[in-house]
Amino acid sequence: MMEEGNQGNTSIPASSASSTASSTASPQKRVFKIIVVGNSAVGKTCLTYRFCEGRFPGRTEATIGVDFREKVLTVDGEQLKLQLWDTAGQERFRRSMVHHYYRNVNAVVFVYDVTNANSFESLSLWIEECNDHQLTTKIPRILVGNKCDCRETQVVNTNRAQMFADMHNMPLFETSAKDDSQANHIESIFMTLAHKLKNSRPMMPVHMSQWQKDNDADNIPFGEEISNVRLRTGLICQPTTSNDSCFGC
Amino acid sequence: MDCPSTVSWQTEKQKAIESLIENCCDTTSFRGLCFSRGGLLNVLDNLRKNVWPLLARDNKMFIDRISSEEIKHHQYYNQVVLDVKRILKRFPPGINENIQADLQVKVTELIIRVLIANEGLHYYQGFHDIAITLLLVLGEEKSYSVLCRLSQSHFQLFMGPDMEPTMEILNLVYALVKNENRDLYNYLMRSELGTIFCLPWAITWFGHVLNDYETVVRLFDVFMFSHPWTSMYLSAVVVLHRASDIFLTPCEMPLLHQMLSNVPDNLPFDSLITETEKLMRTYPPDVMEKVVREMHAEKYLKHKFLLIFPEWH
Repeated sequence: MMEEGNQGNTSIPASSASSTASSTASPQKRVFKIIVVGNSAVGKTCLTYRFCEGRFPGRTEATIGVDFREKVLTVDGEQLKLQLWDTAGQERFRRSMVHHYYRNVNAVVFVYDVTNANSFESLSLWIEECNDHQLTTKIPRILVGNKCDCRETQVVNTNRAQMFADMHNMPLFETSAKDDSQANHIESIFMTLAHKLKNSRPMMPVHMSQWQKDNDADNIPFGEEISNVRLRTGLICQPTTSNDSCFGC
Repeated sequence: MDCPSTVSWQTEKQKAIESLIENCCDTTSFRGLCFSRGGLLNVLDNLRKNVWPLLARDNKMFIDRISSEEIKHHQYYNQVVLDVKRILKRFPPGINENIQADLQVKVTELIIRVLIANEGLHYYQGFHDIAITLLLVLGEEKSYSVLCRLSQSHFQLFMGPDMEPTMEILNLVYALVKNENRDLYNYLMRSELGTIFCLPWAITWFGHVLNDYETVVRLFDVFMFSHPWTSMYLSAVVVLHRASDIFLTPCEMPLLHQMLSNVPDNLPFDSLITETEKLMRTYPPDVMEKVVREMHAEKYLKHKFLLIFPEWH
């Protein structure tokens, strides 16, 4: 995995340029929009910050509205740009505000806090919300249980979370945005997602014009081809097609 | 170092404010002074401590002692605790940990007491940024009566059962930009930026996005003594002021959202406030209300349509 660049206001080519790019020009990066949802204070900001900036942000304030971060990954030789939308956790924002950001989403990351049962129980509502916005199982969705560095206060049982994930046809990852030893694990989680995105034809790509025709052979619908991801722990993360679950913490 | 003329305008202004306080003038008399250079001045917040509570002078708030049990059982207690625990910017740098912990308890109590006194109003993330600023300037009791008053006037709009009215009023920012700079409006519309970038500006009176305490309280001077939509007018002025930065940013929603969300602390707020006042005179809230409602209705219809026919996007 290679990291090319982090968030920044400059040096990112305008998407409109791609529509005029000839086949001999260097290929434009495909852009994937990922929305990160879950209750307040489960660690959505820390998780996306850890992934995009490569470190734990220390303390973060409540997110009001949405924050945006992005990162470029190289997956099997192709550079993909992941755009992460980190959303506010309070329900009133979810109901009235966030629908603008559900549009053209290519993947969803559901986050709960393993030390907070309520954040786990609310997941059904978040899933329902996504279903209402056409973000169904047709697009990659993953479930992340954060703060697993706090094992002694963990209240959401892993088996229970795994059953829930299976029921909703999502892979489950338990991790910690805070724990430096888990940094690679978080990269692996997003790498798994990036593989799924690479190999699935987005329902509504952010930049349809950037879709490379010569990639068509690789464009297998989501769920039919799953790549292995080697986790820091040495485990191979290989979700099965039947329940598409994976656990590597 | 302040030059003599600087000192003299501040001294003059201070005298004018003190004279208004002594003569028990009504709050509208302070409006001009709040908008003009320096607002209520940063003399250790001394003038603010006296002027801000005037807002609640006519509010005969019965200040009942509420038990800590009642506070802890309030429906928003847990949410408030989560948000207050994460306050960073609003505390003075290097603040003693014990004082900070004490302030966190106090601001939580303040918010819940205000919610209990104003049944029907709902807590939103960002209200805690308002509450901590009032608490830091006014202390517990005065901040309670002022926050109660502002919740009934200025923040009521954001504290309904849902945030639909907030979404509606954020269109004012676009309506104003459209009137002032059509090219900029077209650019923002083409990017499909939406209005969420300025949501924290409007609902926290910029308290959530600015780092500098003195700038935040100076803006509070303005918002507190003016129309509840003033934060939307200032938001439009900030967008208009940053037009050249916006045009330098590719016309893509994520990049524009990111660029605009980071409000520089060194914006010339005194002159932006003057611009805000001008804009409010040119396009008064009562005239803009109809435009805003129409814009929102159009957006709502488009949203519903796209949910049914996403391929039409």
